[in-house]
Amino acid sequence: MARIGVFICHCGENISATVDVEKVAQEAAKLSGVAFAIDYKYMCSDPGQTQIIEAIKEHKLTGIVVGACSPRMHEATFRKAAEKGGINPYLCEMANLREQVSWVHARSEATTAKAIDIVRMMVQKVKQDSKLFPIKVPVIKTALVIGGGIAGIQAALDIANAGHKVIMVEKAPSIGGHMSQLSETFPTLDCSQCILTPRMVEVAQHPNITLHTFAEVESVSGYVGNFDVQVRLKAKSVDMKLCTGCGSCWQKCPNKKIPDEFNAGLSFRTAIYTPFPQAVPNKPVIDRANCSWFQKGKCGVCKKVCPVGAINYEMEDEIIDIKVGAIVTATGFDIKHTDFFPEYGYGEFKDVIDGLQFERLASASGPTNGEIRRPSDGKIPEKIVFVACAGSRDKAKGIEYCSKICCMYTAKHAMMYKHKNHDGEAYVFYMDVRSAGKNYDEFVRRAVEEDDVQYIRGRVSRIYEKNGKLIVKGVDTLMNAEPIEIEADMVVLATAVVANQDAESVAQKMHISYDKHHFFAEAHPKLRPVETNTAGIMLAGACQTAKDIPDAVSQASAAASKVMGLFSSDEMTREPVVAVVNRMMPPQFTTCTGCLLCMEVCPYHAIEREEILDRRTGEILKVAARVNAGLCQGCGTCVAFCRNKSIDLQGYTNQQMLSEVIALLNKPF
Amino acid sequence: MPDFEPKIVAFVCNWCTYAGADLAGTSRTKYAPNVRIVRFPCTGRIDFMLLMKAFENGADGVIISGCHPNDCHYTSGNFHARRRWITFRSLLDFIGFDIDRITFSWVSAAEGRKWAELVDEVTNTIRAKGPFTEISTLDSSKLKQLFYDEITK
Amino acid sequence: MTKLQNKVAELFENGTINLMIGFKNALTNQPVPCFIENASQAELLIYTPECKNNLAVYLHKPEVKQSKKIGIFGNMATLRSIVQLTSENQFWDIEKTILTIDANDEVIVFANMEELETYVQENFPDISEEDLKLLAYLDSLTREERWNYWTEQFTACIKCYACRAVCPMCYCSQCTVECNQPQWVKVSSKTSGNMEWHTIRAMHLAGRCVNCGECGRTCPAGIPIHLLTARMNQDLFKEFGTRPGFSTKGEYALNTFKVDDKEGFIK
Repeated sequence: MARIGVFICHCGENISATVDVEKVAQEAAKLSGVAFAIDYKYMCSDPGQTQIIEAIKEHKLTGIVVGACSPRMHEATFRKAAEKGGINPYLCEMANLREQVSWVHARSEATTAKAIDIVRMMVQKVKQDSKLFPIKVPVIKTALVIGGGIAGIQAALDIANAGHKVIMVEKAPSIGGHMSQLSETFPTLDCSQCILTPRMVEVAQHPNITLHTFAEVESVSGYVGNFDVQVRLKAKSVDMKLCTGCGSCWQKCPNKKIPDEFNAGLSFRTAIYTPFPQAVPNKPVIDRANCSWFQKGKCGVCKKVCPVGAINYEMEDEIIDIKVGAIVTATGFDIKHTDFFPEYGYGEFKDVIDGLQFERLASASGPTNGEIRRPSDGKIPEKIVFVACAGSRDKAKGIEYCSKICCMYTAKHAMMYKHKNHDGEAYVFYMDVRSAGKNYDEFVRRAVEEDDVQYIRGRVSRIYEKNGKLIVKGVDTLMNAEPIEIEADMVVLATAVVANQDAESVAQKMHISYDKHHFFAEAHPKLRPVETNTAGIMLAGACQTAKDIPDAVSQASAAASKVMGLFSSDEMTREPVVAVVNRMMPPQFTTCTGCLLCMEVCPYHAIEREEILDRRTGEILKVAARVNAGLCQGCGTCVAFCRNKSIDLQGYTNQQMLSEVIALLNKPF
Repeated sequence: MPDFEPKIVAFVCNWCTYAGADLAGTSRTKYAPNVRIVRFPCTGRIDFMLLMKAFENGADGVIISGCHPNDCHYTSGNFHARRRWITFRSLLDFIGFDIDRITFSWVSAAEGRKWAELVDEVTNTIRAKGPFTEISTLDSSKLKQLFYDEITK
Repeated sequence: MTKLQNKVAELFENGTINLMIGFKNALTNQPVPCFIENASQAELLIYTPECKNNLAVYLHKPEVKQSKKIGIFGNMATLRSIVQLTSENQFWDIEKTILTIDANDEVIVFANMEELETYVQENFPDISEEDLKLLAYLDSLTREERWNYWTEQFTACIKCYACRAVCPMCYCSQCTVECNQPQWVKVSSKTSGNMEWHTIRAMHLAGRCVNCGECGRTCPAGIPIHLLTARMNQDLFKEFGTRPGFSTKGEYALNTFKVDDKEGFIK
């Protein structure tokens, strides 16, 4: 038999000025199942809460309704008071009499009638409430960081320094990512490798970090706090324990014509190679797809010259199983390489290059030792044209977003060129200059005012070659759309930042959402930018959207802090407002028919297929859906969807919602 | 019909429209007192049968409101709800139910004013339509008619 | 023996099936469903355009399922039901062999679900002319006229639930009307309760019904309830481009969405 207590708050005069609170309490007392009803000036105050606690004990109440402000305000307060009074906190509901009644209506009979209706509705709901207990899920305190670029490195170091174990998986032979390819970084123009390599070494040497390079994630299963991940350690063909990094192998490798990915295709590398001199680990791997031994069965020079016998052609891929509690996805980005604008001749003319290629030319460890030279004939260009927005912000080309970093790196490239060639001429064709970060606008002004870079507001319509020069046809919109033609020696296109080619398959393996451009989706664009909708999987860096290094590092530290929050106790507690599929005695077991159409509906992939087995024979008796309480966030979409109501949402059950509606509209006899 | 005050039931989601209605309260924006709000965690939770039940139990009009598309706190609940409403609305129209008595809207947590204006608009529309009697008169009137037809055949 | 009868006898003989569900002639020369348990009974099987029953409904029955290896003869509606039910994970515990007769009178035994899916997609039927006419007529009425028409129909309903029994898509072991905590649908056959029942039925079948028309044919009160789901399917195809019984993927109109679904009526 229900014994509900109703407590109507005056809220000073906020409610009582418009609503006849005494009448509301009197009408509430008449409802069937209400054992106690009062009104009081300030329910949330100390004496107010004490009244509730004592009433629960004295009148042996089984549930309470507080008619006061919005539950979004004080539901937690009154639930704690209920707990102190000795009843389950989820047996406390609030009727919103302030924000949705007294503050929006004038004093009248209709307003008091509305308040009475709402209290009656919540009393009916509380009668159907059941005790709910927070759900506890154990947590494995090891994190997986996928991606060894600057974001992954930052996240790994933050988590490891907090005392937790980290496993980092990177698909390239070395960590470092795109930042290791840069020569100087904006807005300080300090050397990229100089600030990055100490971090890379720290990762390799950190006692809490296990680094797997040349490895990829094969599959992810499980749920937050308890992920089961399979990682494929690709066969490096070199025994890392024996190898000393002496370099004899790649110096003698006869296969020297493979386009070097690190140098953005501007030079060649060998089949057995380390990607760059400061690679971590600084030990080579064999690119089997381009190695004569693996493709044709000829050669074997590296094995012969290796002084410690570290080369092992029989090595195979190894799949390891790791168990982690949280995953940070820091898989990074790519820039558009294909011939996106045929009218610009990228891919056709050797001297039309993209931003990463320019970085490699400017880098002291690059193919031209830091001298900016034309890829076609090696001459130093006297005039360079930089084309900003080459692909971004263009709905017709399918990339309607802004790639964020190009305005800054274009200014940087122009400045680097001018610093190395004081007499050279640098032109930038731009649409807008987006330089909103700290010291960013000053940086761009420096390019214009100190380094004499010519900024032309307009787009380029065509680039073609003539007598060894590149003719750039553009327009100057600030000069009445006057057409401009520049005879350049080199053109640098600021191509769009895009997601990695395999981003879709990575996201699908991890069951995280991604948008139409294959950037990974954050849980909420403003309030939860470093988490995904999959509990336990965080995002860091440019895999979420184009961003610069300071933002990538900030996001990585933020993701790390989310992971550390998760790891702060051995068990995590979750709000018990979750969906549950009914289970009952055999032979029925459940009313669920196992159609599993609800699985598609859940945004958190919290619904699983369960086989109910005969306890003795192991035979499958029924297939049904099951909700993983650790993942369910309590939206209830599956509940409204289920045809035979086999799944219900604790806290908002079908019984409750229907009785709320009926109580709202029907007065008691 | 004089002195007829419509009863409007509103099914809203907690994160957007309920918060928007709270905002209307904190801003002291006044609107008609005919509406009664039922809180759901998400519009995805709203069962279409609850709408029918509301009308059967005396509601004259129903409002259903949630987060704007792409803003759902649970990512996609409102998208599923939208498909469900498109389907249900079409069915109700087909059987001849007056679908203008049901209003669907997207009201965000920042749109307190929009909520107040919506309630006022719906209240006025329903007041002009008059009380909803089509279901409550269904049982008795039909049987009477059939009985009468049978007797007078 | 016809080609069909020979094929079925063969399937029994080589152990592919233990039970065959098909059509036979009944006393009144009306085709009825039949269950054949060995090769010698295969000569009972017939197929004519009057064979309209949707046999997929029998695949849910425990008595049938315990045969494990089941052969089933399909007219197009049955085939589509089987595709739809497969997308709803309903056949994990039986091995089914599906047969049909194509437009050239050849017997086809589908080797796997992919073949069945392809056949169904290539021969996907349109809604019948007669139903289209009825729907158009109803569309031409005013709202009040439509309400009067349907409520009059619902008054005749006696809640026998024959429509539910004959529909292959209604396989829930506990139907929503049987749930009494809370009681969503009134038990007695008052008009308002009947309207609730038919509304729920149409919504639960929206996007899943294959328009076999069995429910309308079976109704003892002659209510054309198949029009409700036919209209649902028409609208869902128009709005979302989805068709029930088209694919074995567990995705249909109501458990998927597109970000840019049209929503002109939402304020």
